[in-house]
Amino acid sequence: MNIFDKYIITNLNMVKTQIVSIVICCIVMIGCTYFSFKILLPFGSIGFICMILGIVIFSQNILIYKKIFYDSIYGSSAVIYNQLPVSPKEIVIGKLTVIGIISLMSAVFSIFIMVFISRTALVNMLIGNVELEQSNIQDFMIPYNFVESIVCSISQGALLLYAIIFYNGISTKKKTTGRLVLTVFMVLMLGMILNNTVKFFTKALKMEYAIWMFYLSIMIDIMILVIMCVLSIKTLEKKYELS
Amino acid sequence: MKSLIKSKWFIIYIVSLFATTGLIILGSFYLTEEYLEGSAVDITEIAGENVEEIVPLGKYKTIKILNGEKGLFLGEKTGKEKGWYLFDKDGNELINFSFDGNFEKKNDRYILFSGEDGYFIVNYDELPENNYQAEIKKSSYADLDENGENYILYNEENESYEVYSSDEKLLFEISYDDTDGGDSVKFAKKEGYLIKTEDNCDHIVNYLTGEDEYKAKKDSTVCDYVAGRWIIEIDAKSDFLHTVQYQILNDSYESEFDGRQSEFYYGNDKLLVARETYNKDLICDASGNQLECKEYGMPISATKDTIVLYDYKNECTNYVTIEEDQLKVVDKCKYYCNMDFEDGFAIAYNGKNIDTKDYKYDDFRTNEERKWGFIDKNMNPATKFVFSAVSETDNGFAVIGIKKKQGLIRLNEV
Repeated sequence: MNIFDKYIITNLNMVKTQIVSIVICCIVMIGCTYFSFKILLPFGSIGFICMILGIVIFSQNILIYKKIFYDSIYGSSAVIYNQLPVSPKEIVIGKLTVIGIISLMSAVFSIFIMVFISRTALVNMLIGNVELEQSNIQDFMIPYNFVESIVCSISQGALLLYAIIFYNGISTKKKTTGRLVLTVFMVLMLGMILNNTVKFFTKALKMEYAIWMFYLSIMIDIMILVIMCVLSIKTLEKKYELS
Repeated sequence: MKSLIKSKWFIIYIVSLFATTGLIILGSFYLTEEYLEGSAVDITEIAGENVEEIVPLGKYKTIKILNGEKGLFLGEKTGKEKGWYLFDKDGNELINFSFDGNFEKKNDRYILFSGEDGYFIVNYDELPENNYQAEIKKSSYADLDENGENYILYNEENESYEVYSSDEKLLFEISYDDTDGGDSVKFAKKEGYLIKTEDNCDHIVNYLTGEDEYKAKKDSTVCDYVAGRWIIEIDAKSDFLHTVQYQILNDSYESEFDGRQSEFYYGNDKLLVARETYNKDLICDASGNQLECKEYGMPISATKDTIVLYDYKNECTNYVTIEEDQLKVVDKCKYYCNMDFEDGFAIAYNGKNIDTKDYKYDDFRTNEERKWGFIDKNMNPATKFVFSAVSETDNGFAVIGIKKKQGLIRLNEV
């Protein structure tokens, strides 16, 4: 087996507990919603259960990012993972591939659930409600959203990875409050650009959503992804040269 | 980079990403084609001989019945001919309203369209010429309500709501204030009364005398006048989970009943339906006393004289009324039906797995299963149950949908 494959599997193994717990939470959540009228819940509200499960899923997601992006580079298990014979380029791409695999799985899972629970809801999302104005873009909203969500989650992963590398620096001694503020500011700004640039300009210019806006949004995501990858790789190269 | 290209996991990921995207695109094509293109059918052929096709499926994106008696309808077209068209019962287009907006509502006197640029109102008695360029009023808000005799209009010059009688006589005027979320006015079911919302507070106003008779508390909403009583809904904000309870007031505005953990749902002149936590619906008399209705099924709607219940066990609809403090079945129907026969026909559903929640108050009932149809006063089918969407009838005219296309039909007596 290729060393890059081994690295991906190692990263996946690192977060398998979190993935399993998220899947279980999702199944319970769907079960609660689907059989809502058949279960007498002690808390009196399906929404309450779903809120609790949502918090669990959110915290598990944070753990996934922490384990993949922080623990194996700077955290307690970094000593073991840094001994693997992989280059900084392979580390960055490997970690983002793992994030890509997880986001692909969750996107496929959510579409499957929509088909399973309500085919009508899916069709309405695809072609718009009877009362709504139908434009060409709505016909294929789901494929666009699917691609966009995966690219966006990988880009966000890259942004987060670079933020962690930037804050921790080449050596862990360089951590300062100023650097922390700068990191948070950078994440917020770039995160906003990732998610809202196209929406913001279309709203400001009072334009209707068109197909080219989807491509533009993807292009911005990929641009940020490439920049973040290059910066992360360069910083990691310096870090490993020093150590 | 070589290790990346040689990596099985990376290649599998990229391939599966493209394959899934492709599958989703193909699936979307399949679903949209099935729902948008697969409905080129002759309505009479599939629905039965009593059905006369007025407008074929798909000619208009949306159809609205304006006045069945006069035979006036509105159809919305998209694309190059975009706009709203007024047409008659032979399907002839009379007027094209060049207006970038939506049909809002209608009553016996007016049609109201609204859009981002403002709104315009067309009077039935003064219908414009062909190709009407609407005079758009630059106001962000317009309202229109009527109760058969009188109507409410928003006068944008004076910034006030005005209540007019059917002979155009001004009965009452209320100034409009858009601070605190804006004021609103609507007719109550009790004759001569309206419900006014001012500074987030509901008032019951007698517009014939001009007297403000009742002012609700901040957390209360005046629902309506049902079963000879005023129904007030109270928000229980102190609860961890947001709950609502209702209060019944008599004509002197004295409390007769405080419903606990239940909210007012709907009602008629004799009975009202309240909803408890866990979506359990109760039938109550005018004093709020609960009546035993389990054997008749679950309440689904109210007609003028009866409460309609659907019996899931025996798959039939029961119409009940109150006699000597007890519920009594006055009519029975073997289909799912939640309305009376004011126009001679009622909408009915001939399938299983109906979710009553979705069909209660919708003007245009839809379901992916094509099981909707019409029944007559004798509870016999007036059409076959082949429609995926239907509207209520008006003088025998009804808007129907098959998959996502709408058409207009006229029902003839069986």
